[in-house]
Amino acid sequence: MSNNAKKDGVVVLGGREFKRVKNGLDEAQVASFIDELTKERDKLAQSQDHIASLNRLAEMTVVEADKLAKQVKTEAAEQAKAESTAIIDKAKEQARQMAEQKIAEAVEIANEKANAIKAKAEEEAVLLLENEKIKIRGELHNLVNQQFGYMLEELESLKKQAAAVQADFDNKLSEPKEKDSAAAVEIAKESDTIVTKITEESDAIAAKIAEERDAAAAKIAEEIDAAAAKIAEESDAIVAEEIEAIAAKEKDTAAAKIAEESDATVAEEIEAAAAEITEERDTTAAEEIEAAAAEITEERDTTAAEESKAPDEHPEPSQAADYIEKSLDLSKLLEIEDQAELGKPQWEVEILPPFDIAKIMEVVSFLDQLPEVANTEMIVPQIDMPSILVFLRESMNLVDVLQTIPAVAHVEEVTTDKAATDGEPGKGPRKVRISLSGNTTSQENK
Amino acid sequence: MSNKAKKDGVVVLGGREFKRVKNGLDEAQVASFIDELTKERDKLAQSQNHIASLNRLADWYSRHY
Repeated sequence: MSNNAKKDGVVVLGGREFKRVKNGLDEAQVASFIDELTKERDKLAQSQDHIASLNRLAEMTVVEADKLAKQVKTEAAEQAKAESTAIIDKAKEQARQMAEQKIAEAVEIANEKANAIKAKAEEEAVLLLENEKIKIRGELHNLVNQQFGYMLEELESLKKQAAAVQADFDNKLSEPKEKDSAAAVEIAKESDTIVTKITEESDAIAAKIAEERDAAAAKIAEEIDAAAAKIAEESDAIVAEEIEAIAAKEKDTAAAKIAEESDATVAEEIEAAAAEITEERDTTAAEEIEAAAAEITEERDTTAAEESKAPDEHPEPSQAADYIEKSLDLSKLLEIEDQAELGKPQWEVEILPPFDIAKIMEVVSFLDQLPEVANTEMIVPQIDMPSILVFLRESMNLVDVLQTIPAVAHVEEVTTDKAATDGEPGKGPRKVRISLSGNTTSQENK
Repeated sequence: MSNKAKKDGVVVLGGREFKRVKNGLDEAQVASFIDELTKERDKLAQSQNHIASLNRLADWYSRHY
């Protein structure tokens, strides 16, 4: 502290001139006290300046952290998009390969089944053909035998007729007796001729019947062969149709199954990738924010340590004034009038959870700016809820005022046994509980 | 600021005692300056307390959330 005797009768202490008077105060004592007060003031001002610097640094860091978070978010979104596209492409390729494999397997299975069905159908066709052949042969045999029986009956009838004619002729021949032996001989010859002729005709008819029977048998055999060929052809056509239908059905089933499996696989892979990307992004953002917070804390601690280690050197009064000017922003926020008579707080505002530090700051700033409010003090307990002590310059109804603050959602005065005091000595403050508006966001983000 | 004349020859300013001497400093001027300095110091100290409270609040908030 510079003390200059400017001229006789005037002394300068701490940059201020003092007159010398008769019966005045001891200069040495006054100088010592003024020096003491100036040092204290300058030390506090320096500390304020540090805090203001830290505040600006913290604000800048928050802005940078926001930018960084946005950048990280953008990059993560782009990366997620690229990775999801790659995953979808990969999944599609896998699904395509899987589909081809499944279709090939389905076709193979369908062919196996078709071959089995075809073999079975062929066996059944052969059996059917044999049965039909046997049946037709039996019927044909019966028919031929029947016809042959009819013809034999006819032949027997003819033979009987011939025998009757022969007997009749013999009777007639015995009656005239030797009247005309020549005529008898002739008749006998004619009779023999007729018998021979009948026999020949009978043989011819028998031969003809046999021939017709053979022809009919041959024709029936041809018809059987034709029917068998037709049956075999129809059987082949039916088998081919059935095979095609089975193959188509198997293919459709396989395709549906593949599509389902493919969709499920793709969805699962996309979901897993999205979860992984989100986790990575959150981790990265959290790490970045933690790093920024650690940096701020470290700088604050370093500054505080330097401050505590610094020797008791104090700037000149003019420098002190500069410090005060520099920390104007902070001082404005925390402007407090001279409160020599503050005493006890008149109100205590309890803040109910959930908490939002920005909203709490808004309430404190609002109260500090009120002309009726001399000072506020934040009480932060270890476990319980935080509260704000309000020291009034003039009497006011804080409940009404709190209800006008946008950050406050609900206000409730807590009535206790103590009467309202408005700062009366020996009695506690009036209590108000508030809850903050729209304060779920910050908590949810934590 | 309370100034009291404790006894003859001694004056109390800002809680400190000052002797009266024959050719000393003007009491009114000294009292005014000391009052000014005390106010400035108290104002800064209150700001400091306020910031400390906010710091505690921030720590508490970061511990709880």
